[in-house]
Parts: sequence; C-alpha cells; structure tokens
Amino acid sequence: MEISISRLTKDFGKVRALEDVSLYITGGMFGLLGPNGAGKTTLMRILTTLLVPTSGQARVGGFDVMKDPGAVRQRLGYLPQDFGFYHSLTAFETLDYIATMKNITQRKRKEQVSVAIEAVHLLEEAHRKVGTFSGGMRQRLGIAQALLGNPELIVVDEPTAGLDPEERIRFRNLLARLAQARTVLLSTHIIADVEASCSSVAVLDHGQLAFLGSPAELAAKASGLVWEVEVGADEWQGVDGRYPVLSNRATKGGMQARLLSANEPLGLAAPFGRARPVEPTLEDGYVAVMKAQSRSAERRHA
Amino acid sequence: MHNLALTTGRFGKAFWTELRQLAVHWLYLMLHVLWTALLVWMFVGRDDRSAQALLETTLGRIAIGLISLVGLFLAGISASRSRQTKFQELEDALPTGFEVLTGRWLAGLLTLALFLVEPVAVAARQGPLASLLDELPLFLGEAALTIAFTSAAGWWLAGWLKLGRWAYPLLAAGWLAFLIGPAMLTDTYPPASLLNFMRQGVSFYSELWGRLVYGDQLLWFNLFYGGMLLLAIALLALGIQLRRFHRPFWWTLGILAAALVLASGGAGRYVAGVQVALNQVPESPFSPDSPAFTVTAYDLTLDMSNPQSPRFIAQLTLQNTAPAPLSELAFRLNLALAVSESGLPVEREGALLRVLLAEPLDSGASLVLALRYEGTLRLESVSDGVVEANDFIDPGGVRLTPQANWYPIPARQPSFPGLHDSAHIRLVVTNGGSLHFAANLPAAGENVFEAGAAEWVFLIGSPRLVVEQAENVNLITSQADQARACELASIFVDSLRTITPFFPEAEIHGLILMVLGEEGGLPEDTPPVTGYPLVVIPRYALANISANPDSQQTFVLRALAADLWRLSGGVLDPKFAGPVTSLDNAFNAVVGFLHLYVKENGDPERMLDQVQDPAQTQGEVDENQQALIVIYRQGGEGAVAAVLRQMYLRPDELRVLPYDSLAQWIREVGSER
Repeated sequence: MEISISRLTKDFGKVRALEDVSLYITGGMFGLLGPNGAGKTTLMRILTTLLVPTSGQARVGGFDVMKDPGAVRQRLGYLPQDFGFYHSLTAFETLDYIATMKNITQRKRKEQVSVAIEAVHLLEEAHRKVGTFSGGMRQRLGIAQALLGNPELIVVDEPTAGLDPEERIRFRNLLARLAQARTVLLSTHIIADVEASCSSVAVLDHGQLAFLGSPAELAAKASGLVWEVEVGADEWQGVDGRYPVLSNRATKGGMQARLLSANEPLGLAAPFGRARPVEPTLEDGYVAVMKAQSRSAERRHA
Repeated sequence: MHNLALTTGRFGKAFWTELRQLAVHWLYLMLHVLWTALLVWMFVGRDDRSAQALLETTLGRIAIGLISLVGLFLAGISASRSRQTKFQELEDALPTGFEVLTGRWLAGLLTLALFLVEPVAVAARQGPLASLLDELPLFLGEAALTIAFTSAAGWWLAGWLKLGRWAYPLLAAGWLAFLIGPAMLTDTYPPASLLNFMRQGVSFYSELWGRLVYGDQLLWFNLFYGGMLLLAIALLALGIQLRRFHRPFWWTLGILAAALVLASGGAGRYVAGVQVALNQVPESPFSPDSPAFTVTAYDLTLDMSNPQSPRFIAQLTLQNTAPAPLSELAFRLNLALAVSESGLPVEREGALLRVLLAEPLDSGASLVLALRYEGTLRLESVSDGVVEANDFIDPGGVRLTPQANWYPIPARQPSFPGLHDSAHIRLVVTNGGSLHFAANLPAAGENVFEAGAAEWVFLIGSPRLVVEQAENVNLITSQADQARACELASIFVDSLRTITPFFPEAEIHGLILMVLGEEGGLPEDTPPVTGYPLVVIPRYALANISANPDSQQTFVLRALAADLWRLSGGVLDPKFAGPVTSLDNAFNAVVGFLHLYVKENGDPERMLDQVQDPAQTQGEVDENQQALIVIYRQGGEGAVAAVLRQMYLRPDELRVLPYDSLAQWIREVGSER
C-alpha cells in the first residue's frame, strides 16, 4: 500500500509539530526515526486519521486521510504508543471486540483472533482479564489487535517498548514477515529494530524531514566520520567534551571510544594515540544526520 | 446489505460488551439490593394508593428522579471509560461510526431501565392488576424518555467536557439544581416547571380522572423532552462525525432539525398553556348592588350528547325578596356558557347575566325562569408552575364545583367560597356515556340527584367512579379506593350513629361520603344538604387517618359534628376569617366532648376522669368540656342537646362572649332546662 505525504504541516497552537513534510512510501517496512518531539507521533496520528493536518495532504492507498478516513481505517492496523484496553474484558474478548469493530465477519473472527493471540504468545492468557496483565503482556495484546483483519497498512508506534529481548526479536521478525505483503510503518527509538527489518527509513527532527532513504544510505551519512580511539582513563574527560561520542567502553587502563568527527580526531595531539577510521553503523548515520541538522539550525538562528 | 449487517454487528457487540461491563459488576447488583430495600421501606405498607397512583405520584417520581441521578453517573462512567483506560486512541482508529456509541448508550439505558423493575414490582404488589396494567405503558414510556434524555445528556457532557472523576460531584450538583430549582423558579416564572425534567414535585394525578386535570400540558412536556433527547443524540452524533469524519452526515442534520422543531414546539405550547391558565382569572362578578331576589328551586339538566359542547337546561323558581318590584334579574354564569334560549330577554356583561323582565316582579312574588345554555367548560389554575383543571366537562370525565358558576346564581349573593341561598335542587345528567355520576345531593334515580334544601352543587362524573349505597351511607369514590373507602365508611357510620342523639333537630336520613382525589374549588367544610351530612375527604387522608386512632376519631367527629350542627340550625364561622371567638370554642368543646363520649362509651365518670387527668390535659383542664360532661352526667344526652340548641340559637352572643366565660355560660344554659 502506498503512502503519499505532500507538504504536510501540523500546528498545535503556536507550536509547529510538523513542517512541510513530504514523503512517498511504496510499501514494505518503513522506519521512522527521530528524537522525542521530532513529530513522529504527530505524523503517525495524521496517517491513522486521528489528527487533522493544518495544511498539506496525506493519502493512504489512494484514500485521502481527511476526505475518506473511514476507508483508511478499514485498511489500517494501529498500535499507539500509549494505549490500554477495557480492564474487565479478557484478552480473547478484547480481540473479539476489536475484530468485530474491524468488520471481520463472525465466521472468520474466532480463527483470526486465535491466530493473532498465538502470534504474540498469549494463548495461555487468552481468558485472563486484561486488567491483570503486565506491561509486556499488554504490549503483546496491542500488537495482536493491530494484526487483526490482515490490514494493508500497519502503523506501530514504539511497539517493542516493554518487551523482553526475545519477544522484541520475535515481534520484529513478525513485522518483517508481514511487511512482505503490506506496508508497515514503524516508529521507534531502537535503531537496531530499524536496522534489522526496515527497507526504508526517514529521520524527523523538529518537525522537519532530515533524511529519507535506505538504512544503508543513512549509515553512509557517517561514512568517513566515525573513528575509534583508545585513551587513558585520566585523559578521557578531555576527549568526551570535544567530540560526539557514539559509544565507549572501559579497557584495561583506559577507555576505548567511537567518535564522530569530520577530521581525524585528536590528530597529532599525542599522547592520546592514533585514531583509526571505522565503518559507520546505522546508529552512526543517525547521529551524523542529527548533528548536521543541529548545525544547520544553529546557522539559521545565527 | 453487507454493510448493514456489519454495522449491526458492531452495534450489537458494543451493546453487549457495554451491558456486561455495567451490569455484571458487584456495584450494580448492590445498587439493586439497596434500591429494593429503599422502596420497600418507603412504600410497602406505608402508602395505600393504587398501583397506578403510586407510579403516577410518589413512587414513580422518586424512581424517575433517582434513576436519573444514577443515569448521569453511569453515562459519565461509560463515556469516559475509553479515555480512562487509554483505549480511546486505539478505538478511534477503528473503522466504526456512531453505531458503537449508540450501542453503548443503549446498553447503559437498559441497565438503568432495569431499575424500574423494583418500583413496578412494588406497585404490582399494591394492585389492583387492572390499575397496574393501565399505567404500565405510560409510566415505562415516560420514565424511559426521562432516563434516556438524562443519560444522553450525560454522555454528551462527559464527551464534550472530557469529564474526569472530579466531575461526578458536579453532575450530582446539577441534578440537585434541577430537582429543586424549577420549584423555586416557578414562584417568579411559573412556566419554569418545564425544566423539571425528572417530573418531581406536585402531582395532581387523580384516581377518578387520571391525567385529565393536566389537559394537554403533559403531551407538550413530553414532546419537549422528546426533542431534547433527539437534540442530545444529534449532538453526540455530530461530535463523533466532526471529530472522526470531519463533516456532519445528512441524517444527523435531519435529527437536529427535528429535535429543534419538537423541543421548541413542545416548549412553546407548554409555556402558552401555563400563560393561558394564569390569565384565566376565576369569575366572581359579585354584584351586591343587584336587585335582591332568591332562587327557591333549581331544576337543572346537563345533556352530554355532545361532550365537547355540553348543553344545560335550567329552570329556576325565584322570588323577589326586595321591598320594591324588580325589572331585571342579575345572575352569575360562566362566560364560557352561552345562553342559547331563554324565556325572557337576556344580556351578558362578562360573567354577569342580566335577565330583563317583561313586567316588574312585585315584592314577594315568584317567577319561573327557563334557560338553555351551552359551551365548553374548563377552568384551569396554576400551582407550582403546573397547570391543573379544577372544573371541566370532558368525554373522559366531569368535575363541576361552585367555583365554575355553571348554573345561574343570583349575583347579589357572594360568590365562592360563600354559598347561595338554600334551595330545592334537582339535577339530571343525560347522555353521560360511559361516565358514572355522583353529586353532593342524594341520588333520586340513575343520574338524578335531588335535595330539599342545598346551598351548592358539586357534580362529578368518571368512568372509574363507584357509588355504593349501604347502611344509609352513600359512598362515592374511585374503583381503586373502594375497599379502603368502605372501611372508612363504617367508621363514619358508627360515629354518626353514636352522636346523632345529641342532634335531634338534624333529622338525619343518611350520610354522603366522598373519598376523592382532591378538593379544589369546594366550599369550606362542604356544607350538608337536607338530612344528609356530607363529608368530602382527600383519598390521601386514608393512610393518615388510619395511622392514629385518636386523630382519626377527632377528624371523623369534627367533620360529622360540623354538618350536624348546621343541619340543626347552627352556624359556624369560616375558619381563618377572623379572630377565634367563643362560638368557635363552643363548637370545639362539643367536638372534644363527643370524642370523650365515644372513647369512654358514654360513661360520664370516666369522661370526667379523662378531662381532669393531668397526663391527658398537660395540667390544664378544659373547663368547657368539663361543663358539658357535668351536664351530661346530670341530665344525659337530652341535657347536652339542649345546651347545643342554645348554641345554635345564640351565635351572636357567643361570638362576643369572653373565652373564660364560656364554661359558665354552658353551665347556665344547661341548668335552665
């Protein structure tokens, strides 16, 4: 299912949450990255017909989210970031209720509910009241309901938060498998999830589109900018303040760190030792894009 | 078709899910237990009204009021559940429409409607079954309308204001404001009773006439709230459509328009109805300067062949009581009644009817005047903002009091609450259809009433009227009250038989006992007609009278003694018309004496003990009663009757007699014998 977003802007009073965002998603699994407040949830809520844009246009599967929201909802599976269910219903009843609301006929409903419950490994808890569920179990139930009705578009906002690593991987794989026949829009902070499953990715920052491309292209944004250095423990403070540190770990008698720098960091400034360039990861690319955005914003403000 | 099935499926699922969440909950079950306990405590064995009357008045009003309060809370709970449980965002992304909210709202409504089972069960226990069955559709319909409106308004408020738990006290405060507010506002603006959506406060429901006394006002009231219900539904739908589809649907606009038409139409007619009743000033063209004459005999016929415009035939025998000849006669006659035929020329001046005599009527001479008149009669008043008819002629019932001026009364004589001169009266009702008729006059045949001397006529007709003749009692009541009224009749008969020897001049032939729903428009103390004490008591008094034997006895004896006193030739001054005189005290002493006489089976020693017992008298002996008892001990019933006779003969003397001289006066006239 294609998603076409054209010059989308959304204001909340004086605050501009989205600014002139244009995107075209052809299908597969699409990752949406960005820091808190970047506009990811706003964009998703517009695409799921929950919010009305201030200007611009968004079409899902050819249907305008403003003019034909019913048609969009009929093709949608949505997992919001912060959600809950009626406490007194069991997991099975909850899914049965949502399946009915998704217009799944009675004949197919039981089967689809069972499949969804099984997919998220909640079979044993199917007849337990949702009010007694832990956060992880509730999250899995949320995922299950998004799968009901085999939607052409699945929009998931921070879906793996609260899941244990095994569940996270299983769910990621499930989404990836689903994305073979449909569009999955995944908003997350966990770059590894995007790296592992998304074919395309967009980065939003301060309501603006900072990057659009494949994960490899995003990683490439940090190409030649990532360095690995080893310094003694007493000199580490000097390094930490000067360069964006992508990662670091303590070594025997010092620190090993990955730094982001346009030039060879530390350069001739021995006694820190030599920095060596390394292959950037998706996370490095993301940080590079964000840094570039930040510099650009600073220049604009200056 | 497929879409309809899917929509129905979503509606059904929302309905059952909501119903389960509301009804399968310990709190809901506990509410039913408490509700049952409250109603049993309040009504079982404590309110003797029929099933229909219970549902129309006390029980029904409390049920509707309290269920409305629960309805507000339940609506708040249901409407905010999705938000409270964070399900709303997920729910909003589902391909649903207004059918989900409708299903959930109706589930709440059903949950509330189940609270009507208890009041209906209490009413059913009261019976009779026919009364319950008559009322059930109306009660359920009106209760459902009120509860549906409250619930829909609650849903709308909760959704619009995004109410949290903090708002429940506010909802309760709003409920309370509508419970007591309209009653307070009606003092300054009577149509404010329209805001009384829970139908609280006064109720003029009558066992005899049902809601006939309300006229069309209830229809307009219900129409208004029907419109308000539709308005709330339309606003709910509109809210969802604008939020979720960014445009209103045509059918919602249609409902909105219909709601506004219904609500404004209903409100307009209701307010107009109140205004009309307010402007209906009782006609009392008292004309003391009119020529003096008296009507010595009335022969009245009410022909109901056309109940919408009933016809009256009146033949009056009148006598010139003035010293000079009369050239015209002035009567009071309701303006709504137009004279269609008269033996003499007539002129109308409002409610004043002037009959122009062809030749002067000499002093002391008599004349027979025949009149035919007709018209639609309905006299309404407004009480606590509610329109109530006191007098009406309708295919469903007839109620005619002296206040209505429905037969010609000499204008010189003061109007209600005074009475006209005593006259022979014969009243015939023809073509009454399914209505049964009764009057304050003794029955002289089917729908024929006649008294040798009467000062007023009170005619009632109702399909539910029961007239029972037993032991010289003419019992007039409604079917629903018949059994209890019979019990009451036996109390009156026993008391009458016991005290009659003290009133030998009264020449009693029987008792007319009217156990009715209301007494509006009747003269004070409902004076008797020749040979028949007349007691008109509110049906509500049944329970109160039965509750306390002492007060019951006093009530009964006072009512009977007043009529026996009058039939013996005595006079009683109107209550509250002036300061209490020794004439009033004399009558009170007689009632007290009779009470002790009945209580102590006529044993004078025990009566004296009672009147002198400090525990009974709070240390203050009633000297007047004591004087009567002493006279009774000395001379028996005849001696007391002789004292009473002096009281009838010397009212003016008693009026000016100092209070503390009355006992001495009684002793003196008692010893004169």
